[in-house]
Amino acid sequence: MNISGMLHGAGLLKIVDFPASEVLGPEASEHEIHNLIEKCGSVFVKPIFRGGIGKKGKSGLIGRATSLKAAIAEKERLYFAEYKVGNAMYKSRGVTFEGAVPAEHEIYFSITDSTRYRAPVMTLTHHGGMDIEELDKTQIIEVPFDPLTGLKSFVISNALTDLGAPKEIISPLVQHLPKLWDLYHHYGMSTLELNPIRMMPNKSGSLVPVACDFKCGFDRDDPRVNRLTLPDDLFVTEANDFEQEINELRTYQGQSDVYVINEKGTILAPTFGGGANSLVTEVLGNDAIISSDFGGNPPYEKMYEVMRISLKYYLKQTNVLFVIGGKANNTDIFVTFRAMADALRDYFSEHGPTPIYVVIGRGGPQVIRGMGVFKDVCDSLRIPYKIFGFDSAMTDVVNYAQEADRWMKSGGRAEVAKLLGLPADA
Amino acid sequence: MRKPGIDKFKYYVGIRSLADIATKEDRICVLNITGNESRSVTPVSHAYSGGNIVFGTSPGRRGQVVETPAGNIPVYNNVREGMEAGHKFNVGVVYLPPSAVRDGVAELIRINPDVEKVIILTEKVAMHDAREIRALGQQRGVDIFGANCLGVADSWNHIRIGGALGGDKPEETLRKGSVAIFSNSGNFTTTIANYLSIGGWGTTTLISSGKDVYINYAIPEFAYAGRLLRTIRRIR
Repeated sequence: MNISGMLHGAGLLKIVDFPASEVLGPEASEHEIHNLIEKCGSVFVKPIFRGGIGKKGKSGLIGRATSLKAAIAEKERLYFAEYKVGNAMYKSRGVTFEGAVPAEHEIYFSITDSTRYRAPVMTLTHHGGMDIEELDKTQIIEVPFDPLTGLKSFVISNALTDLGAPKEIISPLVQHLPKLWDLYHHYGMSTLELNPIRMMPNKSGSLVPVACDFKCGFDRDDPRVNRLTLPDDLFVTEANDFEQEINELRTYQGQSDVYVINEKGTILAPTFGGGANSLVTEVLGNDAIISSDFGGNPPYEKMYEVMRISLKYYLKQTNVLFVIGGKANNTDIFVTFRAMADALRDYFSEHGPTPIYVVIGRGGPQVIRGMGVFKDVCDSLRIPYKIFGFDSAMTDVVNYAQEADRWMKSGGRAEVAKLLGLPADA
Repeated sequence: MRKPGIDKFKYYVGIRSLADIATKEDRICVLNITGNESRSVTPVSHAYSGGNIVFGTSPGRRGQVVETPAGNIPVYNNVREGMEAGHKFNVGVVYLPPSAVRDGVAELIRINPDVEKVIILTEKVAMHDAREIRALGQQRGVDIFGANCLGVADSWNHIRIGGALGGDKPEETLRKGSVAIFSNSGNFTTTIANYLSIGGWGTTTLISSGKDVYINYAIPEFAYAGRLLRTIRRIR
């Protein structure tokens, strides 16, 4: 749940009365663009990517135009621009036109919650407008502060003094930057970054900080985000349909964190517990289709839905259905296994059989009854399986699942297909 | 007024030794004791620990009890009522839903100045609330475990506080030994204790720290408490 850019950023900053550059959206008329150029001297044309996509400038994805003709040309170039970050490809859905802000000073400012300090932390430098990673450490200051009192003016003032900031920027920043804590703390944010804030002279000659770029992340567990009445589809990012569908089940009862690792993987591993998830994801690597944590004692209905969705998307390509977790503390294994086994049986009933090998490793309350249910379903579906109890080391169970996957790839899948009365290439 | 903590830390840490994590002297109040998860976990913890829970709260359920093999635990509407009834406690356990957790922690440590430890089981606590909870604990000098943790246990003292470490039969997994376990994952805390048990080893203290951004009792505190514990044993 991230937002980048001034299209929505300017609106959020307005809530706390923090000055922002003028911005027009993709629907802006030529007349409006022309007026903005006349007023500001030039405009920046930026593609709109959903989510928090950074470093667009370095990738040549920001245009600057001093005429309407040039602005329209940049709009045509960037409207459907593509941008690759890691393995993910992002596609632009329009452009913004942002009025240029003349300034001598550029500021970098961010707030986030620090695992190091275990407190909110402000990062500040008056050498902004560039990646702060490129700055010398003496040019940046990081200040943890007390969330019960918030980010106060004296914190800003002390930080700017320590940085040796030019005196003309201190007063305007001390007046305006504390407003950003209100935006951060009261609207469910987990990160907020403004870079650059340009110090623009007003009519009387004193400087006013104007935010010229905006990034923020929201905490998806914080209902305060709803205070902002942001458009429903704003957070529909490039995440795939499977992740979207699973995330709709996210409630405080039971974990439901899931990410797709490899769309073409062959081991579908619903995992229980964060530790088990880390271990399994690490060892399986690219063989795993998803990385997941479905622990936390989910009720039957939720577990059934999670499994139904997982099978709907990925069972057809799966060699090994690998149900794995440690020795549960409180998760009812009978309830969760019954839900998963029912979902598997219903999948076969609805879509027909598919050649898979089931590997299970689990311990915890009602584990014997749970394993019994899964065994009965596997027997009735005539699919091969191997079940490990909590006295088997998890790493050994993971190795077994990999071995089963290798066997399926080297002729085992065809053998299982034959058992199920399916063609060898099923 | 904050209690004095350990000098070595720039922030407040009160627990000096792993032996102080879960002690026989700890007396516990459980918030939302009649909630779904607490109803199944609390009676097991209470019985395993020899009856260390003095009362629980659940608004509107004053007069009810939570039945356990070690006797009934009384339920009150709130912490103040429980204390007015004469119960004393030094540890708060929080089973409240996410939106109520911050207020629950505030209730525990503002109503009862004797609270030393708070253990938060609840998952998906908003970061906004987590940062305020951290600050509340720091302000009042209270050690906090969690949120999104599974509590703490001491195999030597036969004490389990908070969540379900060791599952529904903790005595099978939490066996006396020489290994202290710290894990972000409650499941791994129990699983590793179980592997050790199968291999003929045992445990001293078990801590499930939680895995949110705010890990209140973290590795530096654990390492400090562990080193001190070894020193004490050597002296003895």
